[in-house]
Amino acid sequence: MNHETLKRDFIRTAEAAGAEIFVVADMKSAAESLRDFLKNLKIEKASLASDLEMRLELRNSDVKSSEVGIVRADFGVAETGTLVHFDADDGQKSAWTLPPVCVCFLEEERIVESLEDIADEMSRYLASEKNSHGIQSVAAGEEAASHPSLPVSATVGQVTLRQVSLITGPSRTSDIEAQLTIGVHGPKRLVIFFIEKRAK
Amino acid sequence: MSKNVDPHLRQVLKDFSRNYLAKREACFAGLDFDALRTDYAERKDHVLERLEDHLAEFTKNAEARGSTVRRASTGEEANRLILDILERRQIKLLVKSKSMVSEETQLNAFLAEHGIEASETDLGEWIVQLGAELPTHMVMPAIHLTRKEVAAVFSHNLGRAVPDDIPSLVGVAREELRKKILAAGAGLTGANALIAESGSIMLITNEGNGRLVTTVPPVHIVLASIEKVVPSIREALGLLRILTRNATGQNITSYVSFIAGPHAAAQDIILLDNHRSEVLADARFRDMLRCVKCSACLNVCPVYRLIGGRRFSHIYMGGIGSLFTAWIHGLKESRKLADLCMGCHRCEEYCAAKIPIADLIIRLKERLTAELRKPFWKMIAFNGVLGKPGVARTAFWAGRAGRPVISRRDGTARRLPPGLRKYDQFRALPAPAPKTFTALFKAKQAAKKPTWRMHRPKALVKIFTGCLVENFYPEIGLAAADVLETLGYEVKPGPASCCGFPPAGSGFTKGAKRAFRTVLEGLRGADSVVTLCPTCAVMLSLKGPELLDNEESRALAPKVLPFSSFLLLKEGWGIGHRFDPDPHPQTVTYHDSCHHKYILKAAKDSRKLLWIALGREMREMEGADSCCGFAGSFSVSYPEISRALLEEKLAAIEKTGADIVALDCPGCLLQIKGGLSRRHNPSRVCHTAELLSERIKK
Repeated sequence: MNHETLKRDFIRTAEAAGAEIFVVADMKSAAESLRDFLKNLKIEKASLASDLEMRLELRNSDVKSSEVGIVRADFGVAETGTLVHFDADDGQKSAWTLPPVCVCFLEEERIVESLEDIADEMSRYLASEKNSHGIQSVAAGEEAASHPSLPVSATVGQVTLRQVSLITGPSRTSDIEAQLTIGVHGPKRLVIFFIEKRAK
Repeated sequence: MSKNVDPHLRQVLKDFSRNYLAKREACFAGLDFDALRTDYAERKDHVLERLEDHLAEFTKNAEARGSTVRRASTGEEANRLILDILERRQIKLLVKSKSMVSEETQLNAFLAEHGIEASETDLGEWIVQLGAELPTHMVMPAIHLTRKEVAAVFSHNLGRAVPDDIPSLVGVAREELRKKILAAGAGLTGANALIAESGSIMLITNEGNGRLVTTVPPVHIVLASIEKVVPSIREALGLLRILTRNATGQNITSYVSFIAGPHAAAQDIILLDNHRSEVLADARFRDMLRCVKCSACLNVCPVYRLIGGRRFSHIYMGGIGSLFTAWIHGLKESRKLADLCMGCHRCEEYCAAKIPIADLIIRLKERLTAELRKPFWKMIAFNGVLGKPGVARTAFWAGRAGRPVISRRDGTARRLPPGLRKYDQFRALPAPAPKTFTALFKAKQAAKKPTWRMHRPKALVKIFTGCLVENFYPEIGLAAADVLETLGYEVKPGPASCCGFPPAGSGFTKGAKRAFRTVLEGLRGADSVVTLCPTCAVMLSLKGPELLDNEESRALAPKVLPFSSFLLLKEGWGIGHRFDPDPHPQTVTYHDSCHHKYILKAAKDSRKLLWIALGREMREMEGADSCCGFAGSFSVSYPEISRALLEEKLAAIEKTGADIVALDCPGCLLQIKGGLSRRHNPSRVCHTAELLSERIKK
């Protein structure tokens, strides 16, 4: 399947799942659009990974009180409009889940047709010893150490978590009167900045 | 709990079921459901063959990652292990993302006894927990509550007035549960799959609570049953592909996580056996371990749709629940659930794991009748009467003898005495016909003038009529014989005794085998056996051979065909030329009988035949394949459910305005005709054979 079809399918399925999509030319214009987006929403506190902090010229806030989490997806799946994230440290993972708005960058060349196409990558990542992203897994240890109900000795020094998360649209529930309602636990809005060209 | 059918719940479940079917169909568009589930089932069977090896690999890989893995052989043991983990770390609050297995072990109550709060975080589960309610559905536990009732539960528990619009209710849940998740010392989840190659778990949620529960509290506890293991991510993705579509009609849920190893302090994985190894060792029941807990079987179950999961459960719900209950919580607890299965087999059509659920329930009923006390009336009816061909014949003879007393002028039976009104208030019961089919057929043959046959008969066909046609509706048998003879077959009546299905379906194997042996003898010498009742066809071609397990019964099976399928198979499309089109065509609507459609897969044959022969388009009723509520002895055990199903069926029929209701099962005919008669509706209810014999060219 060619890139155009994949892109079109991804946008269609992701929107059908309730995500909002902005197509931007490159990382630079993505950063500009994001700044406008945050300004419009009057958002001050954002939680984001360290490599994005520099690029976007944004300061990182505590994730628990952030109004927006800014993240990057490793893959996008055209069949279902799913974002795939290989996450290893808590800070980044919480940026996906805790704030009411989640903004995600996704590069066009990371779109695949179906999950089965990246089964090997997922499998390798889950079984791998080293963190392929080079991200230090310190946040998790710190959080555990600072948790009041845990004896300090209980926290493990070596955290070797491997997690692959698939995210499709915002958090949803139909548990009351079978009516679809958005944003029960996770983000109420999932905004995808779809970057057509790879950032330099 | 009330014996009656709650109208609010009934409406909610009806709407839910309808929406579910539409969504499910949309998301399977372009995919081959049957191929997907066959692939899943075959892979899963391979895994189950070497379950212990896969579990060992999973354990090794998860431990290498820093997780602890322990096996618990009983629910009690699993609960103790979890208590120990929490007490060792002085954790007082546990948050949970939906875990069926923790309900199976009744973990929440156990932890409460030890002073530990376990809070559900899935919205529906939390509502049910706060309201101290029983869940109505596996995936949507609080579906029976209205928004007002949910608001009342929240207001009562939070000590403040909560507005009763859904977004506000969801907002309150978000706020309250977020506090709990941030304060909890541990999070507990189940696992939709345990992936051996990486020691990881797959977790599927929509709300996002699974992600929070596994990543916010420092300790993550996984409580999963042993059959959840799969070798690699490929199998997990295959499962995901079919599970979410079949469960909620979504291409994928909002969140799916694959987690390997602890994210912070610890990940404790508890693998629960709880009698699953015993199921695995029992070839007659092993298939149930493929269950993916999608609850599609509930969504399409006619009984569940009326009474919901609070009445149709013992922790595990519905038909599939009866099987898990039997092994996990005891045979005695499973009886109520097994009895509520009317044996329509509709669930099997939708099962993601291709489990022969209704067949397994019959096997469970066999165990129930062998090991527990049998209901008295069933023992008499099945082992004493239907299971003894001589006694059965005498009983039907007595019925005929009593006809002047029983029968009314229109052929229906007189009303039952007041204590038994619940059985005939909603449908008129038929009185036995003055003469049996066999007697009428023989008299007709004897009266025929001997003629020179132009052709040798195509084949010797024996008509197996079944008890209802033989004794109550002989005209159907005569019609079928007429069509077959006109088409050039030599026709003989089959044995006039019970096929054995009613005893077999209720687990009375002794009576079933005895009845079936008599039938087998009577059918010797036939080239083909044509049935007029789909349930008899199921007995003669499937259940009987399974019970007797001998050469003769296996040889009979392929000769047995329901009337419509026989004609289409032997005569082909050319059969259309043998009929005269109706000069005054009446509108026909077709009712799918459960066994005809779901076991014999013959519903399309009947529709096709009616179309070719009579040149008529069907005027389809809504829910043509919904059960009419007859279901044999079920309508005696649960007349209120039988009645409710019939009411829906009659309403659907009346809405079409059709003059004729065509069908292929004398049981459905009894129910629908009896129901229309009570409503003074003049529509005809006919067997396909009757409609065909009216229009065949002589």
